[in-house]
Amino acid sequence: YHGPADPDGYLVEQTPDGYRWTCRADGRTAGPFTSREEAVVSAEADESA
Amino acid sequence: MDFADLSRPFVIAHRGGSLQVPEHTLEGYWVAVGQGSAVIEQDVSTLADGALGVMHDGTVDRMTTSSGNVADHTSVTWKQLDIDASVTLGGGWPDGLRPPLFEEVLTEFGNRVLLCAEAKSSDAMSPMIDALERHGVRPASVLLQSFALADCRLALSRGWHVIWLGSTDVARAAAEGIGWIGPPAGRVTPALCDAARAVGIEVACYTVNRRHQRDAVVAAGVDAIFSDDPRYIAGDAGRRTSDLFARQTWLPGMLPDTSRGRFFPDDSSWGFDVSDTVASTLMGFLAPPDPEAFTLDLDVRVDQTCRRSGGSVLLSTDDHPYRPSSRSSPGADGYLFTLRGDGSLDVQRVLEGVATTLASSTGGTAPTPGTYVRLRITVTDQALSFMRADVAETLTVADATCRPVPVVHLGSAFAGVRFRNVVMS
Repeated sequence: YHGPADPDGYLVEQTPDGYRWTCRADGRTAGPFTSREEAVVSAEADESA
Repeated sequence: MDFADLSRPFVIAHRGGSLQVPEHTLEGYWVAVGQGSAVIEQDVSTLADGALGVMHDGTVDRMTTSSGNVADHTSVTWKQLDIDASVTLGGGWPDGLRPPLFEEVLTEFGNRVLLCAEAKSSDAMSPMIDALERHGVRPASVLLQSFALADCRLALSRGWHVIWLGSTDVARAAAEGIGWIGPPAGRVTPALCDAARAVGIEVACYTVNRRHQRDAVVAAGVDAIFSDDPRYIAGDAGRRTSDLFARQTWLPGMLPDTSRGRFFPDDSSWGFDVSDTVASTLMGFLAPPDPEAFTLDLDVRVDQTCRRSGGSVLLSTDDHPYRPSSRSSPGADGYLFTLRGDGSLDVQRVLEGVATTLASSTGGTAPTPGTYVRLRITVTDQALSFMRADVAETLTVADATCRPVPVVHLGSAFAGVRFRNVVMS
């Protein structure tokens, strides 16, 4: 429906060049993303894939 | 009380019950416990000085007035963070609360309340167990959780119960000696629950905020349910026949279909700010005395006077979300009653979220902006009526396609809309 929560099972964190997400189940990461919201959207897509 | 004493299925207050209280705050946990939650959840991450902070995200951006990574804080700077509760939750919660350290949670709640603590960061599980043991917390009163199998193995090796989150691999969980799996609710099936039960594994699913979802996962056979609105999910008790908007606090089941609206303290109402969209919010706390035949009275204020704007009531068969801007809302069946900004009335049948007009008034006197109009909706087994009291206008429709329709959603279209004095009789 300050922006969205990290999807359960993912941690979104700030890096020197933007934001990245880490999947807690297997340690995969993705990024950098230009904003936290963009990283969350990507993590949500990965979660539902 | 220990986890073994709880009847199944039980409800876990996800993040402390984040739709009702500021998530992961000591104050929120106390309110959740006071409202009957037997189990409260924590999300635990390691801080820069080795202390443990409690927060759901990897950054503090969403919940506080600050920004940056949780892991970059020390226990000293952690205590200086402000939870921005008035913005992130509203409902009268004040700013100035702060996120707790895990040690503080254990001091306040250890051995008094059942705890369900997730290792959020990859290095959190071992120090979490150290803290639990240091505080003398009984393993029977704690369920640890992690998405990482290595964390689950660590917890088991030190004698603690653990939920393997995200997993539906019953055989692997059994081989590892893990007692709980924690799949997302969308992956729960009767076959999964049967397979788990056959090897002595329990199932805790996340995150369920609607009763129709709860009924589905309970029928499938889950043992525990994570919910952001534990009072709404825990039972059908506590339903009301009138609103409590004057209190300006969130009630169980006030869930966002599209948005959650907000309270207006200047006239003790609840509603939506002016926007260029269509909005809807479930009023899950409301229930008529007789779901088959009832009357709904309410006062509505619509702050635009064009025909496309309006305030609406959806009476639906269950609590599936209604998203009027979407092309469909699966499961959203019922009747939509709309007071247009130009004063006209509409009654529409809604099936799978798609509205079909059954009756409309052609003219109408536009309500004066800023004033309330009294509306009355009457439902019988064969007909519906929709009355605007100030001009004594009534639409009557013979339609019994959807029955019963005891669930209330309130909405707005392209207007600021406020509601108050909602009463079902």
